Amino acid sequence: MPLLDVQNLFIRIGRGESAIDVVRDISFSVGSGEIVGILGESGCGKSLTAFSVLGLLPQGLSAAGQIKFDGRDLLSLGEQDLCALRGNRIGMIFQEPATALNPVQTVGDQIAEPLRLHTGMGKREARAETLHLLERIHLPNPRAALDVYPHQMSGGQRQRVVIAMALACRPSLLIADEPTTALDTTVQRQILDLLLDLVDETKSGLLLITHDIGVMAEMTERVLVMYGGVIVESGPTEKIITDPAHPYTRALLRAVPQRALGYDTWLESIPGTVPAPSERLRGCLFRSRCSLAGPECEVQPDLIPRGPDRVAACWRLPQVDGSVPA
Amino acid sequence: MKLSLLHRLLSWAVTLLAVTAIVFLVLEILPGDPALVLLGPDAQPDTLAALRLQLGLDQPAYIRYGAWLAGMLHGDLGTSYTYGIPVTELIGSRLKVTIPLALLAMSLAIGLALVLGIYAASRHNRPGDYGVMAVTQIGVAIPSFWLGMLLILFFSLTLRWFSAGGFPGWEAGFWPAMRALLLPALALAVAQAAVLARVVRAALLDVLGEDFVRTARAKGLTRAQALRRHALRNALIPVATVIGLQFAHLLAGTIVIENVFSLPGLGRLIFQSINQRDLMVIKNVVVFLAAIVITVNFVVDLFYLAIDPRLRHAS
Repeated sequence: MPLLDVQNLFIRIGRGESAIDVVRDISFSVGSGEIVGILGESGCGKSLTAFSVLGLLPQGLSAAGQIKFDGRDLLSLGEQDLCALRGNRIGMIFQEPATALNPVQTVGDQIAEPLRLHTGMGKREARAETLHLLERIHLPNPRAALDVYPHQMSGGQRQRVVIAMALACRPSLLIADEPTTALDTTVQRQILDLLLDLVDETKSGLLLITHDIGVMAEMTERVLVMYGGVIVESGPTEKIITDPAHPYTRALLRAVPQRALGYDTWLESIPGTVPAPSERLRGCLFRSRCSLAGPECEVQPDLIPRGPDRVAACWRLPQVDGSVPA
Repeated sequence: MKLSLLHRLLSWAVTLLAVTAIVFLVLEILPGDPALVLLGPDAQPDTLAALRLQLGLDQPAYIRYGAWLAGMLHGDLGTSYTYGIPVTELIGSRLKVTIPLALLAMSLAIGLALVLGIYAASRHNRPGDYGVMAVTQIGVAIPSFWLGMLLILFFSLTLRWFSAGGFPGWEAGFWPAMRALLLPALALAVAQAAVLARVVRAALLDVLGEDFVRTARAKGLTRAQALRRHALRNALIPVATVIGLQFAHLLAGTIVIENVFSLPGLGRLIFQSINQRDLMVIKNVVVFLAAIVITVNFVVDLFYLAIDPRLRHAS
């Protein structure tokens, strides 16, 4: 049984007739020690998917379907049970370390908070454990960092603190929402290495949300490509990079500086933008930007198997397969 | 930290000096001869001259200003024209009423505002929130003197729980004195609490949308815990600013309320002094009230430093 098993998840804005699905019918799983990526442009619903796992969707949004964590359906749990899981069994790493930390509380207190909340540690014990955590995330001068405020740290150091906070109670599942997007490239590398080491060490599962194909290629074993709130393709990362099936994935890969992936071709942009949830009509959402779109794309394609462990949702797959790889 | 403290202390002193200059200038420009007021229009010219000499009015303005400041530094504010006793003594005895009244009113206002504001913010866009907003809207609109009269009518004349006015003095004991201050403090507090509750609510809603509150929730804190431990302290910064401003309003409000409840406080003193053209009392009381307002704002500045480490490290 996988650690996290999401089945037919819908995320909805509003109620009744006027409700709009921003995430539609997505299913995926994350096993212990496994790193799974969700890849997509901003606005495709990947962050909402992450927040729905924690039960922390913004007001006005609701989730339906099934999110099983350790055999328990999170969507049917009460607030109290969810609070006991958050920060304890499931740790969350946020995108923006500059705003994710409380500006008026010391770093030490913020990391100690989940420890005191979930493990029943006393003040002194939690402080000792916090020091230990700060050492583990390789913060320079960890003892002094305990009493420092977030604004006295650099962006990379703050993100390390956010990671330490998420790790404090040794969660079995980590969710990282664009953990390196707000950081300098040189620091990105260090943070990703730290995450890899920690997942390796703790054997926790990691759900990594990113729009960065380079990050996804280096970090994840499996990946879901999302577009406009649906999964358009999923499978082993390596296969998807070397042989993308869905026209969107192919377009995404062509839009990346290829040297990072070992290719050497021209950079291309995808014309147009992701349609807003209110503009989403029936059929394949990518068709307005797809060079292969035809009349059959007016109908939503299902995810169909394409090789071992792989699925993709496109009517034109035979043509894609037949065409010369980009 | 030390530097910013020094900076604020200096600005406190400079502001106070400016206040004395303005008060002195205004009273200097205003028509009316204090000696003439004291002796009446039928006074003989030589009596007037003698009184002017006695009051030091024959000296040039800058010397009188200097003497006033020098006296202030020594704790000598001169003698009241009408009461004939030192102004320090006069102010001292009146402060025993006004300071407890203002503090009681401010505490009531802050307490009420925090309870209402937190309640409304935690029930944002739900009936409880709308209820608080409606009640505070009414609270803002009620003039304090009218509320004072209603309170007297209801609690003093109908229920007979409190006396309708007057002050027994602290000699009568702590509780009887507080009892006399409770209704006037409430009359002063309601409007302030209503404004402040709205500020607390707005500040909290602002902070509750911040990323770090979401982080707190992701750590496993309940909504109420996240509000209490993370949002509240950040929201107190704008709230403290408004409290500082409100304190000045509250002192101004005591002038009216002390008259409604016949309390022998500073507000009533200034009211009477103006009626009697007791310039010696007026200028000192005005400077004194200004000093209190400036000091409160100084304390608010210190509070910022205490609450926000970013300001502590900024200098």
